[in-house]
Amino acid sequence: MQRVSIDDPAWRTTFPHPVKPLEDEWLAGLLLRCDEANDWGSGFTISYLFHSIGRDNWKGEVNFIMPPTSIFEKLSQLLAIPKSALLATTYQPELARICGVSIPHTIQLNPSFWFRFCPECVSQDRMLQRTLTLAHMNNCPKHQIALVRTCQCGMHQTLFSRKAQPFTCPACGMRWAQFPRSPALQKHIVMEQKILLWYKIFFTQGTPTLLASVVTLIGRKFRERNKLGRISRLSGKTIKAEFFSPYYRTNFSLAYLVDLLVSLDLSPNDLI
Amino acid sequence: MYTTNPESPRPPFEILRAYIETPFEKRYLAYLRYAWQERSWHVISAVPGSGKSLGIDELVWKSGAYKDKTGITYLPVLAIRSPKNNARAQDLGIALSSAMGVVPTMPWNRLRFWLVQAMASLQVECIIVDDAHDLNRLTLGFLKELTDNLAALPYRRLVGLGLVTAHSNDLVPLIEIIKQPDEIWRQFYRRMDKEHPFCVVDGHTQAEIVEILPNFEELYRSQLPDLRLRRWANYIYEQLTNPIIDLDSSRRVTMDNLTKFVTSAVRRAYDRGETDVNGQILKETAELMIQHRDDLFHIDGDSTTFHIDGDPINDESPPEQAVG
Repeated sequence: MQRVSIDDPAWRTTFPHPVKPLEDEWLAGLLLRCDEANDWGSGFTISYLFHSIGRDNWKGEVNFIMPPTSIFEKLSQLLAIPKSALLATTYQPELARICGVSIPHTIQLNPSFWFRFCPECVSQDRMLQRTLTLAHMNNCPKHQIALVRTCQCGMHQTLFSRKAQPFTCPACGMRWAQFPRSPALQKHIVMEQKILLWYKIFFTQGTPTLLASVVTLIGRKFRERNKLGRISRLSGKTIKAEFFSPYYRTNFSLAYLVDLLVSLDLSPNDLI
Repeated sequence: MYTTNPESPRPPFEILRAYIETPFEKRYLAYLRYAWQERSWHVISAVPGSGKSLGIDELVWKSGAYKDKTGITYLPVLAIRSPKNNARAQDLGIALSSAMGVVPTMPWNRLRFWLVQAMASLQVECIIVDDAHDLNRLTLGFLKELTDNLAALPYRRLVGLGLVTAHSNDLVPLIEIIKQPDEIWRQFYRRMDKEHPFCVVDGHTQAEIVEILPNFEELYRSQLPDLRLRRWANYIYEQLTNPIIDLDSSRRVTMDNLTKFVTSAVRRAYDRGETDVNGQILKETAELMIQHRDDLFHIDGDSTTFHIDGDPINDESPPEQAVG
């Protein structure tokens, strides 16, 4: 249902300006667009959601990769859209399927997340892509420019700041859409395409069985390369081949597995 | 009261509700639409039970309001019920924001400015306050502030205002506040419509009752196939303008009284297995609504049977009239 009419009971239970998720939009971006559409400060919607579930001190303890499922119930009512459409703004359903759990945890996707964004996506569509939550992605796959984290004033950007308008720097007020752009290096683009391909495999076909196959594949490749001693990872760090143990595979995050898969120059064809 | 017949093969009587665009509603909505279209300000008054709130609902429903999930919302007529009990400006602010949907709690100094932005972005063209007789200096003053801010830059948005009040004895509420000599009320009065700032919408005449009754005939056709209420229009009008009900002796009938009378009569007829009302049934209905209206009901024994204290009905039935 695209519209809510005034005789619909949902009129009273929705925000004055409800918004719906864009394709591949991240939940945090949707919440910021909701703030903006309703002339609220940054973080107003998310604060209200947490307040409604009895968690007023949510800052610092919540990330927006895997937020509490209870907020989706409330947000579904406030925006008059199905919960499934909201869950699709995270990788929660995919990760639950991959890991075989009902409620996955952030560390199963990306244990070392920090917020960055593409100024061009914000400028064009007020868009924060869901891929911003993935590890090893330093450039926007759509616009091929570097993701940014820091304002020219030196302030690290945070998703929500009650002192600021949505999509602006909380320190100097500069709009995220006006942040300078830096073109991505070609070799990084190629690398991140490989990374995204692996994520896509996991998100579209991932099951615990596939995960086990991937771990087995990595283990086999490690044994083959054991003579090399160390393997260089995406972060630039190295790992000793003997340290990889498939027996602890349930603890591996997707970020770590994708790192190793790309570092070992493996492709999805190697899984067959 | 009435007694249900447990042996009746018919299903229980069903009270039906439908919006009827009565002559009163036409008069009343004409003023509200005028306020909306001309962005004019009025105090619009009618006696309790006339159908003021129903009319507002109808206007809002037909105003074309929607919330589009692209973030665009259109609410041309913002209608609220006045907050009660010596309300403060923020109580009115909360009532206005609630009409827009869910608005997270925010400090009053923030909400009062947010409301201006929100009303501009919702494209509000007219504010209607039902039960406006409950407004006071503080809430009326806030309405002025709000509409002044909307009229100023950057919005430049003129908004109509309909303050809908209930009155009695031709005493229209709010006049005594708005016509005070203080500067704020002079400004308020200056913003009001120049020709008809205070309007009283009258109830139904006898001829209008004749016009309305066919709607009830149609409404209850499925339960009383031979229902012909029009022929009793004069009797119904006379009963409903009895000074016990028509407190101001206006000789006008409210829709609330008419609906209750008709509903009571058709239910009574239905429960007796009739397919139409008759003089006896109307007389009993009139007795209950008028003469025994304030009698105490004793509820005892069989829960399906009520009785009232009072004389047994032994007067003659009303004459059938050739009307309509």
